[in-house]
Amino acid sequence: MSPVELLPGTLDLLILKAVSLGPQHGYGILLRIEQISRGHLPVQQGTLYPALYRLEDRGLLATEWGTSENNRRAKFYTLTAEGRKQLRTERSSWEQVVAGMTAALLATPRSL
Amino acid sequence: MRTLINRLRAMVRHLLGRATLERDMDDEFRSHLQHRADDLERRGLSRDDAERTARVEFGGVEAQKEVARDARGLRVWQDLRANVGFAARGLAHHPIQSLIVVTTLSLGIGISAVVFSVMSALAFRARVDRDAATFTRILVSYRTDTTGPSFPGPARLSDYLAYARNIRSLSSIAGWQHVQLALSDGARPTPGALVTCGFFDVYGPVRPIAGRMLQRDDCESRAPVAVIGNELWRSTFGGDTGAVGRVLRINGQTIRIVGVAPLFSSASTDDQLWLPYTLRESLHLGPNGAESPQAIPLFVDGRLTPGATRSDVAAEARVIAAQQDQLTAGRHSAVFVNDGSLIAKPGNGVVVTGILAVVFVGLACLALVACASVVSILLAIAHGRRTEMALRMALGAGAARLAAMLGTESLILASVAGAVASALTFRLPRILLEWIIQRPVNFSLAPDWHVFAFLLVTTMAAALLAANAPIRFVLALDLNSTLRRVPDQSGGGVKRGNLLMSVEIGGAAALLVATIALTRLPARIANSPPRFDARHVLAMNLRAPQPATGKWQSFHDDVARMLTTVNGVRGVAFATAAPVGDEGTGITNVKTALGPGRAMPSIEVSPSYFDVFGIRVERGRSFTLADADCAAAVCPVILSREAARELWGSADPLGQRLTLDPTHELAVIGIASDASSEVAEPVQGSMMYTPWRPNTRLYQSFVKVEDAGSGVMRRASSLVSERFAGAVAAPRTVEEEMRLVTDAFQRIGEVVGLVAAITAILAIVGVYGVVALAARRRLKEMGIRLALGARRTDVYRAMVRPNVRPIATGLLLGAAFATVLAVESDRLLAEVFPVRLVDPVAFLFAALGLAAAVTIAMLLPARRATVVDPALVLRQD
Repeated sequence: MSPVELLPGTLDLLILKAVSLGPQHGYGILLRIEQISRGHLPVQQGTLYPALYRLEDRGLLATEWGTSENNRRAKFYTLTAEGRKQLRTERSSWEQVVAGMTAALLATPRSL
Repeated sequence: MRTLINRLRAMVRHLLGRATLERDMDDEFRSHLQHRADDLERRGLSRDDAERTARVEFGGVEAQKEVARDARGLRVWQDLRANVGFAARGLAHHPIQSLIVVTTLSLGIGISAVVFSVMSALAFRARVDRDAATFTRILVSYRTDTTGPSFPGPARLSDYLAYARNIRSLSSIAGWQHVQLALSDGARPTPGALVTCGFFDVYGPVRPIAGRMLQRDDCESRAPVAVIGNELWRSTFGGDTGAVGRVLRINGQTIRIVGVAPLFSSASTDDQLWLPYTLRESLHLGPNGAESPQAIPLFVDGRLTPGATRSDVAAEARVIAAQQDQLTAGRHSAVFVNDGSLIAKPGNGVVVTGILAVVFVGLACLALVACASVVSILLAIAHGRRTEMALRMALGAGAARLAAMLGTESLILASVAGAVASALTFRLPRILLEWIIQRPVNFSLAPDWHVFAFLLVTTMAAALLAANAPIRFVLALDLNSTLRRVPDQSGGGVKRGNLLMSVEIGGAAALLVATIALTRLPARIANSPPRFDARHVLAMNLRAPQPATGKWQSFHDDVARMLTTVNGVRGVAFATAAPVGDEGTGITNVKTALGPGRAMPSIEVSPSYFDVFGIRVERGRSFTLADADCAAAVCPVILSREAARELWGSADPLGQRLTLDPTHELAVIGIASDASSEVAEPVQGSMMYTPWRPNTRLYQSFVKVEDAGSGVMRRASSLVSERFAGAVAAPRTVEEEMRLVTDAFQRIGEVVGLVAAITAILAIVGVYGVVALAARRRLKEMGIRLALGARRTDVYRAMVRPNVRPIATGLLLGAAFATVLAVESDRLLAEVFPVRLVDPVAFLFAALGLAAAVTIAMLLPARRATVVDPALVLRQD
């Protein structure tokens, strides 16, 4: 299947999910999103950092400089307690949207 | 909410650590590019190709940083910093104009805020130093089966005691009453107050300068003690703390000083002595029995219990009042509960609102002129920067960006002015008020939140108004012609300039008219005295304790006998007020047979009143001894000529009847000449005289003397203090009493005059600004005219003529506005102030003075256009 464009507002949720799987630096988050979405949801590099900074300023992500797997200096993002709570909330809303959309799209004249 | 706080905290952190933030971003983006390049290298690209591809994919580090800054909300601050920088540069380029603008706005906002502060302290706040929100005043109006309702005022003593015992929604309650006390030296009356011993808790806590304040025991034990005020302490004891423990002879009694009170805000603000109310009998100020109708009435003040409201107090007080009414046959009480402010006092609303409205209209004039003046100067500055602004627009700056830049400039100017104005509100209100009333002000004039809200609103409004015209001017620029330096021929600027000029002149003219009218008042009054003898009649201002019998007749007789023995006295009369109307003038509702009911000013007078004042009874007869104490169904009345005209027009008033209530009427037995002066409104001559009831109350005594300056006043007042225990008199001629009012008006006029003078200067500076702007715009045109042979007078005419119409319009508008203001003030103040404010001479002086000043302000900049070198101007692009 070819990649699709991200729906507005979903990048924050993807970032929170990616970081919840373990601390990551910016480029690592990009790769991880691609990995966990099985390549369906590629993230534009230009949109990643504004979203990361917004989440950091909202207190949902914490940062710390460290050394990456390539042995390079990198800034690592981790999920805060508030971020974890936000992830739960956003995930639940998303599941409701998906359930609603799925139900709507599966509807047939007979099911009405 | 938490997220918002986090974001704000982060924003502050980023602003404070901007350098670290930028470094972090650089490092992170570099790290990102290196990781991506590593990845691409692993896929087979050379290092150089990998790094180049990574950079291309990333899309430019600087652009990414800009987007990231936006996401962190830093762009707003960056723009603000740029705007402040632009404004600072602009102001630095025009230091004189900037100074004029700041001074103008500071004066405009500052004067408004100071006057607002004074009005707020006088009218909208109770006179308390702490927690005005819980302060509560109870006023009571009494009506009996035979009398109409009294004006809401103090409560009977027995009622006060019932309120103090039973009202649960007040945590503390106090009663007090002003009294005039005779100190050791006898003749000089000293204002004091009889108070319940919780008085200082309600108004305080008041910490004594020395000794202590009154305590509950003082009232219960009737201890002969007093707390003295700061002024008395300084004047009598030279500010010595040893005054505590010393004794004073007050109303013939020996009273020990227990404490010295500092200046504190209270309704008893002019008082210098506070004594327990239980000393009333020993001080000859009324009987001890609380139930006695002659017992001293007390004003009731208190503090709300936490959680209670004034409505709760009113509900409780009404129940108690109804219970008290049952103890006295035929008595009905009406209870009024308010916050103790002047405007909340029953009956004050219309007059206070009217006065406030007049003051605020004056302030609005000042604000308008100040704003117009500022706008004209800012327009001139904007005109000078039009090429720069056009360039910015050509380079892509949007309307919002330019508006923000110019708006920031106005905001900075207005904020500086607002800061200066708020500094003024801390000191100036007291200086101003003390100068008007000519004595120290004992209550707080500190600005409250009303004043700061007013300052904030006026500052913001000034900033918006000041920014509006330059922004519109800049946004309307024609880029093509501006950048090619072709003069802008659009008419918008001219129309705006004309409007500004009319507004400035109009506002200044209105204020100048008001000033000249007010400052001329005393002279007008002096030149047009009242139509009665005010110079040879003394108002005795006599205060005396209620006689033990409760009857005043014999006291009045004794006073009259005693005063007639004083050398130089030619006659004595008693009345509730002097003929021009003062605070003793009553209002009586009457009805004629045909007309609707009317409220007529009325005075109760003794038979000799008309002789003493030299008021002629033109028709019918005067009162006789037999008319006094009239208890019949039909009582006699004498009307002034104006009153008779108002009631019956040209019909003969003699013998006509006026209905007071279904069982009482007044029959007109005489017509007296009008007592008001020629400069007064005719309606102020309207007066209804009814016979006095010498037993019911203490009447004001008026004494006709040969020569008021012959020591007769001193002789009369000494005699009063000697003969009658506890009585004090402060005689003054009626003329002096009237002058006290006019002097206060003159001082108000001088204050308004100062404001008007400042306004006029602002207006003239504004006009100068507008004409200077026009002169600068038309410099080339004038150069061409001169080159083509025009004379200097032609150039003067060309420069001045376009301004004649807006100036004339402004003068007419200002005069019309001032007329409406004066007529309305006369209408509102007709019953309390005896002179018309409408004054044609004031209009003439204001118009001529302003026109002359404005002409000079126009000619000065116009002169620049006449001395221009045509060759030089035409060579310029």
